[in-house]
Amino acid sequence: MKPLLAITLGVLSAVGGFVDIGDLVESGVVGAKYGLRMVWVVALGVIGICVYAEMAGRVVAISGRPVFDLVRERLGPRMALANLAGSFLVSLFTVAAEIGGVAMAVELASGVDRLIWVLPAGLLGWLVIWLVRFEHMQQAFGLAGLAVAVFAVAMWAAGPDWGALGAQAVRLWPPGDEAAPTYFFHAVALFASAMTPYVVFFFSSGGAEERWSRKDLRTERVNTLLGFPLGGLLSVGIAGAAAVVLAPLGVRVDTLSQIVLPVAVTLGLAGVVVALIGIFATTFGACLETALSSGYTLAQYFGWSWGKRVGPSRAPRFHLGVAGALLIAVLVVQTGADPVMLTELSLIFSAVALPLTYLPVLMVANDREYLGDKANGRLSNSLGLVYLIITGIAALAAIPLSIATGAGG
Amino acid sequence: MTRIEPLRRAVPALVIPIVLAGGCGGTTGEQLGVTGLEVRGGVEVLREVATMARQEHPPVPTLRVSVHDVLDTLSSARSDAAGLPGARAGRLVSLVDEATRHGQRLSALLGDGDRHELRATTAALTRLSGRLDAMGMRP
Repeated sequence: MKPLLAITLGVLSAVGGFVDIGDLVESGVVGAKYGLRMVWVVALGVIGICVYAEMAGRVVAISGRPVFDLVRERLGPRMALANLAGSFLVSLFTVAAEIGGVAMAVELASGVDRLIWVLPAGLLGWLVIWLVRFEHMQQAFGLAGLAVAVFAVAMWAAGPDWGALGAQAVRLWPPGDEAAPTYFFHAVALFASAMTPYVVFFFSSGGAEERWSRKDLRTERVNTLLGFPLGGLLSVGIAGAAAVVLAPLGVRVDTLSQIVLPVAVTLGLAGVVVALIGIFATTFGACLETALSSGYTLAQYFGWSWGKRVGPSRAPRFHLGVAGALLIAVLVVQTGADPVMLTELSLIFSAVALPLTYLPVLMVANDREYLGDKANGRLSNSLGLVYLIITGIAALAAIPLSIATGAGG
Repeated sequence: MTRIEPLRRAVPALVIPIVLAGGCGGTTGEQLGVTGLEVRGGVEVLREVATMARQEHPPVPTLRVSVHDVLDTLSSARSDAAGLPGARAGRLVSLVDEATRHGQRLSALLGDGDRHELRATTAALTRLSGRLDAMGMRP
């Protein structure tokens, strides 16, 4: 019963943990704009994150060390520095976007301006990281994050034309009257939201924190291969709700209040309460993960003592890194920067950093010195290579598309 | 060096046209269309909010934030429309002003539960939506 419970909890946590502010915003935006025409992008991103998260999990379970720790050793400090710079900056940006998301969720619940909630959100994040055990933190916010399934319920309650939705879901191209660059900008952003770099670093460092070993390989694989695809369905639910309620009205999504609107229209107060719990849990959970990821990457590159289990007195620089990331994020959001725009920017920078993140993972997962008989097989390598090419294309296209479309405007 | 030469040529060839295309923007008519659709979307959100506000237990804080966000959108749409030439742009500005008045009224009504006034606001927003339709501002 205990292993089954561990797997169930792990899968559910991965489902809820998959969604963050990037998925919430981008799924709402593309749902209102294109209906379900970008389901293929979600599927592409989910397969990609499964491929690389599985590799990262395997690396930590066999070697006992997180990926970033090995990247520096395997590729040398210079290459690892490029990896660090890309991942760390993207993580910082993402922490800011997530804190903005937390503040917006509380604003929607209270009606009090989001800027009031930014500092408390950062402080609460720091306290939770400091006081709550790693597995409790992951499970609590992952499970509460499942509440965003209410968007799928809202889609169903709106009584959509399922045939029309199905027809949209199998289309790969934009509707005739929509500009192709804008469509591909959103495709890149949505893809990056599924494959956000911090996920791999958090996943592998978290594995080290939980002291995964060879016997945890199966649990790790089930969590990844079931949890992330089910999490992808939550994203599709958000897009579907926007497609059914907002698209026919011609509402363009550029605020979180509009993303919640389909739930309010179809399910009323009860639905809104559930949706806000889900949004708070997913954004706050992701805020903790990204802040920790910032500390992990810094500490692992510079060889500092690290880990949430290791107290601040024994790993002061790691804890300072985490607190510093939260502080910088709070200051950025407190300037009044629009969290939705911050999210779009963080997704574009994520897209640019994708190959920098995933190439070293692929290289380390191929190294028999670390992984022995559990090094990548032909299937993992083929998929890894295909995704490296896709992330390369996304990285090259991200900035030009962003400039050309005014960030998807 | 020679190996990366084709790449060096290909990247600017791909990037420059995209950037230039983005920098050019659209014609006045297209810009007016985009602004009009933004306004129309905002009016539709206000209409939904006015309808939801008549429920027995409306999510008042969420609706209030929604209205506030729409008022921000309308304010920026007004600036955009006011910068465009022509009578249609002028007409759009006056419709935006009307939508803003309804939005402010709606914000004041939220939570008070005056269903009659909320119904009147919904009707006014429906008429406004129809006038935007008549201007060709429809999704």
